Amino acid sequence: MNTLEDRIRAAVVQTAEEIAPGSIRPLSLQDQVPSGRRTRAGRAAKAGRRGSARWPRALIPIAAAASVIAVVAASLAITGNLSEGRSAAARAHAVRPGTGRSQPGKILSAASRAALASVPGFYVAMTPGGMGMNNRAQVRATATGAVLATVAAPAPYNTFSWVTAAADDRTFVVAAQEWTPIPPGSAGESIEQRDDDSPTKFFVLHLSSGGRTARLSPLPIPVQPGSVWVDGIALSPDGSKLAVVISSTAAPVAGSTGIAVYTVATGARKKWVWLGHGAVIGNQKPWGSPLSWAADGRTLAFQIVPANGAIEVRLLDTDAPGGTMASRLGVEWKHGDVAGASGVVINGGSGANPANSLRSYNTLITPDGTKIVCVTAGTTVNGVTEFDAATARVVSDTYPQATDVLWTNASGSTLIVSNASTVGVLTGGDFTPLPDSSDLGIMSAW
Amino acid sequence: MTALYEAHALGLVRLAYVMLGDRAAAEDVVQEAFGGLYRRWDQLSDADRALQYVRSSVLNGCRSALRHRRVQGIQAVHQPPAVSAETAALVSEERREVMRALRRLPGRQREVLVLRFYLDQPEAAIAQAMGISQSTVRSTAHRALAALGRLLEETR
Repeated sequence: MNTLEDRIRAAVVQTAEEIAPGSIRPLSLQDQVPSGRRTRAGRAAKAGRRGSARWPRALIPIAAAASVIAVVAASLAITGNLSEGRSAAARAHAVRPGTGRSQPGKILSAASRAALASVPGFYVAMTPGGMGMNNRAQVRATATGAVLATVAAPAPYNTFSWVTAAADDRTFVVAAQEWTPIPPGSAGESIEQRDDDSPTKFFVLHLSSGGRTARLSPLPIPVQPGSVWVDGIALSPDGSKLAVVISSTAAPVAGSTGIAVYTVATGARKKWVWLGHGAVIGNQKPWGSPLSWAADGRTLAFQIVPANGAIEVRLLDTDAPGGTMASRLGVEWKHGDVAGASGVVINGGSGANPANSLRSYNTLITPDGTKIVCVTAGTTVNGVTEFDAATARVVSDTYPQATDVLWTNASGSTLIVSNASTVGVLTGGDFTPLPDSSDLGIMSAW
Repeated sequence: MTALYEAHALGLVRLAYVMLGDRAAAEDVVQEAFGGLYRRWDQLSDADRALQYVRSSVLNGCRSALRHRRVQGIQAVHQPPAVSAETAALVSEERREVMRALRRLPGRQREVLVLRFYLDQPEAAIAQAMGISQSTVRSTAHRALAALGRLLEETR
């Protein structure tokens, strides 16, 4: 077992053999309807899930060209401006306490209206197009869930892979790729599949004041070649910089990871390559971002996964020259490994914080720089946990049902988080579901 | 359908388990793949190719699961059953290191290595299963091995 190939072969075979013969659960085909026997109700239900039955096809716009794209979809009788969008909370669904689900047609409580009005009025959500592709981006009103505009990925791109938002509630950046559909196979199936090697192009999506129109324009940032995987993006609060987690298959080191920060207006780039232990991590799932900016538009929080499986949250001064990141930078956070065996450590010291482990990758720094917010699943902290950025002490630990933290206000007092079934506003430990958010099993940004 | 499942479920679950490191998720992926096959059974032009179809579905399902699952902790760190003997523990640690590194590779690289080293598939079969060209299989495997070697080196 000297060669790398031998090691891999032994590892995968031994791992596979942990599944013992006879231990597989029997095949269950309940609720499955064979082809040719689908019911009208089943088709309608499927169409409804995809949203095509909700909005007339004529209201769904098509991207016109790969250059400057302006796609305007229908406003659906919701907001005419931002303030109206927020006040629409009063018409949105009410919350049934304890269920996390909304009740259509009911009037919201004052507290719920206040919660929904305390977060950005618009968000952009990717809509699934099958087999993991997100071929459209929807602009939605946070307070009502109404779809205000829909933008298609411009040709030749056919899927959006990432989305991030500035702090102005108007400016978003999306990453688009061209995924390769597998030709109809011998089984007569057309299976679409993500092409990890396809280039990535960034576009800015700018909303009009009422969110009625969404203009998608290409950014001057060079197309990321197929040899560079984009593993997450974050737009600075003022929209001037775009941070990108990259995983390169080429120089300087195959398999190296790092962060590139682009000036949005010019496409100029600074790049930091991680040559230390582990790797800079990106998103492994559709929620949130592995990167976050402080309000100064300079400090970027990112995450490292060392080889031991723990996670470290670090801060990068993006005004510093690019280069390598082999040395420790700024404040270092170490979260316990996934087994929750070790505590939080700051600056390599022996922290006295409780054992914890992270439930999700998207650890955020609050824009005021005072707290680190994450979702933990540890023995003594479990839920949305906020750490003091200066002392590493736990400031708060609430809402154990949370799975991800998606947005934070300046101080971390109001958050947008997800749980297993929906997305909502968390403030003071109270969770207010966003209307019509239960279908958001996809990437979104506020 | 049942016969196909009985003949191949174990191998497919094992394949998904190597990819995901999560037995329950692996079984779910395989169940879903067979469910998809069942729903499309009437459309199959060649029932003999059903295994090829369901294997591609399992790979797609693994990609989707990796992309969409809500992980407990930072990674689905592989945790094999406990062993008592020290020798076995050493072997287990070696395997853990390799599997940990393997699961940190980008999805396509991981797939190529698993298909090559677990299923011992030739380039042509890997290309067909993944819907890519044989030259892409070669280049991806080359990059994957380089990246994996580097990741393993870091743990030394």
